[in-house]
Amino acid sequence: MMLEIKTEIVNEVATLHFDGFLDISTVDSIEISVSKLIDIHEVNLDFDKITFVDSTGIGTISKILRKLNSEGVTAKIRNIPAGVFEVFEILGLPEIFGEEVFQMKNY
Amino acid sequence: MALEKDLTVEGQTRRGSFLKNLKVEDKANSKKQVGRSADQETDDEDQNGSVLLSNGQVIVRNPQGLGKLPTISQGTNVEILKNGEKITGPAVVNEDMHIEVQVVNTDPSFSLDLNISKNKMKASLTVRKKPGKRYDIEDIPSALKVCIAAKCEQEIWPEVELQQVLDLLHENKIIFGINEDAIQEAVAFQGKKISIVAAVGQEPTSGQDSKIVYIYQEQVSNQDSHLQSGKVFLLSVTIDEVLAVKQLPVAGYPGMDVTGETVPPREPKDEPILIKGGVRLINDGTVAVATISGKPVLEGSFHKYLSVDPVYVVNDDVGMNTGNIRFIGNILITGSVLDGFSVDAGGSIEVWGDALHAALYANREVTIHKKAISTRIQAGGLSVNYMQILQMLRVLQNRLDSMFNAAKLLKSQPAFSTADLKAKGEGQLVQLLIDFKYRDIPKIITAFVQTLSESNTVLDPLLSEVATALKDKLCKLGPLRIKEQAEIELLIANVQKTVATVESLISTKVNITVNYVQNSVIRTTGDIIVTGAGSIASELEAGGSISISSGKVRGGQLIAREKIKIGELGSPTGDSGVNIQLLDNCCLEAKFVHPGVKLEHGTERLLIQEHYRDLRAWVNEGGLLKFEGVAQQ
Repeated sequence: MMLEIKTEIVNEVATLHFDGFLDISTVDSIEISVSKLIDIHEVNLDFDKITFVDSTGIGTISKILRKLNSEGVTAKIRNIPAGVFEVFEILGLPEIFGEEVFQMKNY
Repeated sequence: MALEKDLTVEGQTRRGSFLKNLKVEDKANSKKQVGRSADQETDDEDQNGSVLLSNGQVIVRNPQGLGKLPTISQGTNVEILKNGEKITGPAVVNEDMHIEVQVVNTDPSFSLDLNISKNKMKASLTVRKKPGKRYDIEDIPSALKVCIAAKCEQEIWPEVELQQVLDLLHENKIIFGINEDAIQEAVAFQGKKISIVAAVGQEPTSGQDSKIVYIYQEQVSNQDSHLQSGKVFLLSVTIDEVLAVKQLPVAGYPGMDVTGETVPPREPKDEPILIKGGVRLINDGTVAVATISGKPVLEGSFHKYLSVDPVYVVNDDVGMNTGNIRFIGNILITGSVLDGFSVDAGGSIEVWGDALHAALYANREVTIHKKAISTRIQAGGLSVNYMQILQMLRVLQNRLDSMFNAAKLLKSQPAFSTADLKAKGEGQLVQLLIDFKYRDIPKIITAFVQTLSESNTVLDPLLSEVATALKDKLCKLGPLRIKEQAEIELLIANVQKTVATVESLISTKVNITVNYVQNSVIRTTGDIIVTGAGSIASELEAGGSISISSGKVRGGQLIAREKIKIGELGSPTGDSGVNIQLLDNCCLEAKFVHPGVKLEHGTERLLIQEHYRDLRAWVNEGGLLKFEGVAQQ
């Protein structure tokens, strides 16, 4: 299982582009990538190329969202594929973190 | 110069039709003028042909010069044959052709439909009639194009014989209850359709079920007059007093269906007198008599059991002279229950005076004829505790079912990988669901465990077993210890089993009746009825209804499962708000409501902010609180 993460920073806004699986084997790399962000006031997690998630991956994402929110950093997940978005909805993530945080991919 | 021709016609009539064979004969030499129409003429040399119909005769005249040939076409209820061939559209004709016009008459017809009911107690007949029609052809003036049609001159209704219907009934083995008058009416009817009951069976005469007359209840019917006269009624019986008499069942008479088969009557029910303690049966079980003195009790929702409970009568106040009262049967107190004293009855409690800073616990009904101040009253025994527990368990059961379904749905999603669940256990997913969508589940479990621990009575051990399992598996980090899905299924099955057990432990509904309540807590499995001025700052919880229909409710909390009916709700100043909880399908009716009253259903809350008359609040099908009423200025 593989996950590639590319980070772009423009005007204190960081965008992390994910490509691969968000699962038990890749969650460490996500946490490391986010922890490297310094002096950022907004983080966008681009899920365009995420094809699978598992419970460990979702747990990690929710942990990251909570951490960023507690630090006053606005965090959003963008371009979520429909299948992954449905998983988030079943779990009630948009109800917890806010509908505006989760943006489904436009097809 | 155009020539006029006279034509003669020979006709003949066939059965069921009117047929005219027409021979066209040239009588040009007769020079008889039959007239001209505008479309016949072009000029003096060229003249259109024509056709006319007079007295059933078709007369054709050929065109002259370049005039047009006449045409004939077929209208309704006729057939036209040209030289022996039937025409289907407009056809050109001339004087040399052999033209037949055939009038199409129709014969009358009828049908008989017989329908026999499933139980063969009724035979219905439908007669459908179609009249025959006789047509005649109308005269048509001379024209280039003629359409020949026939008009109905006569309707002939079919004749149905009574015997034909009787034969039909006979063929269908209908021999009993034949209604010849109705059949005569149907056969004589001149219309398209008539339905009648041709035969009807005789219903069997029902027998009479056995009936149990509870003699002592005649005393109860006199209770109102006693109360009106200021006396307090005491229902009691003595040894060997007849409590109930059974009237034996009476057999009915057989009937007969339309085919002549005997229809047996329903077997009358023969219910025995069911008895419990304090009662015995004599005269082959047809009479029940008391074996002890006490209060007769009839209990049970479907099967009624008769018993006599001993009555302990306190002809005084319950206070320093008597101490606390505890008795296996019913307790009657002719005075009041005074400060700090308690009364505990295995049966019912009746207090003719007040209950002041006291505690009253009964397995059956509680009646306080005057007021209850700072008093705790509980009726229905352990059922009251079980009712509270059942409510929690039902909510929990729904939430667990929902969570389990959500887990199954998640695992069926193509974008959801379950590889980590195999490595770490199913609990990983349960934890996730509890962290997000089902955060209320640990709270419900905690409240359930707390209620069990606060109960000062011995409840069914199954409850504590389930509570422990729920707490271990679904609270704090418990879910992470779940390895297999089967563990969750077992947990849900145990909750379901516990719900069924608790439901079975809740016994007959019993009521609490009191004249006035203040700063008190009242709980019962049945209804709470406040007959007087009302309820002030009290907690009332009823498994049935709460009725304070002519009184006021100020402050406190009211919870009911069926209905809450109140005269005046809240206070004019709005500073003593009342909290009303509507359970299940409960509805609230109040004649007058002040602002500050809170309505609740589950997690939903609604605050009344205006004065209302005739307010009604309920929970709709979507589980939402609704109310209506007349707002007051």
